[in-house]
Amino acid sequence: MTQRPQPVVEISEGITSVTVSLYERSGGAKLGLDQKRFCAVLEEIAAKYLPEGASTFDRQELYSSLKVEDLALAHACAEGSERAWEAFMLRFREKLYDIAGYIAKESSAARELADSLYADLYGTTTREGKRVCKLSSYTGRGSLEGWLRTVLSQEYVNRYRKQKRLVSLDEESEEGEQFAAPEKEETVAVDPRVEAATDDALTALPAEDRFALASYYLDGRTLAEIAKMVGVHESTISRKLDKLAKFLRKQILAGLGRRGMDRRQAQEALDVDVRDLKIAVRTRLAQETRVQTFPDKKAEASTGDGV
Amino acid sequence: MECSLEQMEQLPKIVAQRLQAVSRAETHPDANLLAAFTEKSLLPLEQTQILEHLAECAECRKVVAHAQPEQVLQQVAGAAAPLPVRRSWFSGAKLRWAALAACVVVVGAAVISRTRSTQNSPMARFESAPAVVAETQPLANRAPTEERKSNTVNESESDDARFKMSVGIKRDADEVSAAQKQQAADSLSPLRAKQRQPERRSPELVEKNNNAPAVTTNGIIMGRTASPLAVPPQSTVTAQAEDAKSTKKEFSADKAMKAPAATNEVAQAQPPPTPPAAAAKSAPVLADRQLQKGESGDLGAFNYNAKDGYLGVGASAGTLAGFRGANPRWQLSADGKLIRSNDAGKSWQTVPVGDKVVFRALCVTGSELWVGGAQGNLFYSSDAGQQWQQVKPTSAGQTLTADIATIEFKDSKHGKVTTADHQTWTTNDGGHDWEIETR
Repeated sequence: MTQRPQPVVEISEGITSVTVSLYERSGGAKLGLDQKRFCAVLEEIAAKYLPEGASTFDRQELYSSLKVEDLALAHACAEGSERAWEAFMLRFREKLYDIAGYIAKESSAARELADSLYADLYGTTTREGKRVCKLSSYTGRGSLEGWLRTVLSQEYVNRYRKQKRLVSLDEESEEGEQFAAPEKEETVAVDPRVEAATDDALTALPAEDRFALASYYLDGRTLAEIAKMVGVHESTISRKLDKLAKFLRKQILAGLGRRGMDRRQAQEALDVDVRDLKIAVRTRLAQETRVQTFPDKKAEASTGDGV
Repeated sequence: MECSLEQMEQLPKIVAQRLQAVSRAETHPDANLLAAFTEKSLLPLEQTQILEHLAECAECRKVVAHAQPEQVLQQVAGAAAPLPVRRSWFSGAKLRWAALAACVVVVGAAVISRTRSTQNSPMARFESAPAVVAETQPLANRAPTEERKSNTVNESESDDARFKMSVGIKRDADEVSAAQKQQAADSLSPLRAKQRQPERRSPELVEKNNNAPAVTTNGIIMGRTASPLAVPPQSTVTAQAEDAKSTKKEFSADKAMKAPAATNEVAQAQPPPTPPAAAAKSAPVLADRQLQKGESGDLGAFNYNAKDGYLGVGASAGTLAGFRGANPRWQLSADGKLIRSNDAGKSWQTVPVGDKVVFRALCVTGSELWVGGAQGNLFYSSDAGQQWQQVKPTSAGQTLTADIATIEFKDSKHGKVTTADHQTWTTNDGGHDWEIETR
């Protein structure tokens, strides 16, 4: 097993006692992880998450928030301890396949996903002559199970993205719309004042609100899914989105007012859906080439082509 | 909800377009932070930073969405129906309306019952009926002559007793006992009942009736009515109280509430229940577990009724058991805590068991729970998680100290615990004695 370089950090007495007690709590000795290595892992974690010159208190707070049992298990596995691997397999072998099944929703894909992660966890690849074990990147911020779940999700998302790029022409024609190459967006001239007012309104929102908006309106997540992610009740998210929609409309209208639009103009500019506008223009162009006219966009939208 | 969804769709589409346009994240947080975000274990500042990133990064949102723990792995206590079915029909507003409707029906039934009993004077029938008839014949089939006899008895008193009996309200044991014994004595001697004046009975008469043969009286009452009003003979109560004293049984006020009313009647004759904290402090370490499990007849009806209360099986007594013990769901959280849901998985509460123990295995058989985790920490609850005892399996001088990986119990007696270092601990007596097997 390769020995990692130990970070040279001056450790205060208080921290030493904390790390010793954490080591005892972690059960690292049973798993074949020595105390020195455990302390080195803690130092690496502190260097990763704390700013330079962080106080002893910050360090202690970070250490106490770590899942030290899982941390010891993961790093003992990374060190190649047989006992640790036995414990890991006992705890996570079946669970990993279950999680993969939940993510991939299809048994063969799930199997493949879980197997590829196992290979990474075992450390079948080498970099600069050293075995690269993915478990050594676990820092104990969340549970080991949660980390495995997230790593599987990342792997799944990456694969999905790669596969999307590699769709064959036959498949594309068979599957039709689903795998069709994205249609090139037509550039539609939206009033820059509307864009600026919208950006201002969005920037003023807290991160959680923008996250909820993006998850619901862009990703198409359900209220229940968003509620689970944020950790609130479904109805809270429902109310929040409802309020946000009203608030944004109000803020954008106010912003447009400040940019020189009167109330009616601002209302019209906001109600014109850019996508509907685009379709309407295209339709109009196709229908009226013989007439050689190019109607005003806003008038077009207000006549009922738009929603 | 539907109205709200419609309103939400009024979001100007330019907003969605601009939201998409700001997706410009280049560096992504690592899996550790995303996992911690999913488990809500980040520091507040980090939480905000991750949310900031997620608001702009569609890929990380996708990862976080996929990384949410699924509900499929949860262990459901008892034979509860599958989660989707329960959620679709018995959740939220529907459940509240159903509960309201049930309340209305119960109250309506009680009112109708009272009205009928007032009109037909059924208590008179009850009082004047001979003992043998009372045991075997339905009230409606009684002879009209018995009704005539009923007109002479104290109607207000008898109606009161009847009403309370019909709605299952717990009464003071002495009052019920006196009324019932009077009725029984009357039933044995219809002539005396006929001659009795409508005014309130004198204390002497009550005393006299109390001295009537107790077994006969209780036999009639218990045979006719539901158990809430059934009062055991004085001698039985005393014996049970003594039994309970001698067994040092753990008992909490909460438990007393859940036990059927008949149990409450008995509990009144016993010493006051130990407060939960005190009970927990003096909890036996399992050596006394056989006492709690009621192996012999020592604890008698007391133990049995208390247990039924938890299971919600003996809900005939109109207790809270049916509501409070209704199929809680149990699960271990990702960070190794025992969590429970009483609303079909909509919300989860952490159940405090052990001190900072990280649990890895859970087994639920009926109202009995076993939960185990790191360093041989094994806890047992016989009452659906109300009270917990730490179990220290020992065998041949060896104690279970390894990390527990799995717990399997076929029933309340037979089970096994496996550890991370391949030990298998088996028990055939509900965790009292253990045998170790090492692979």
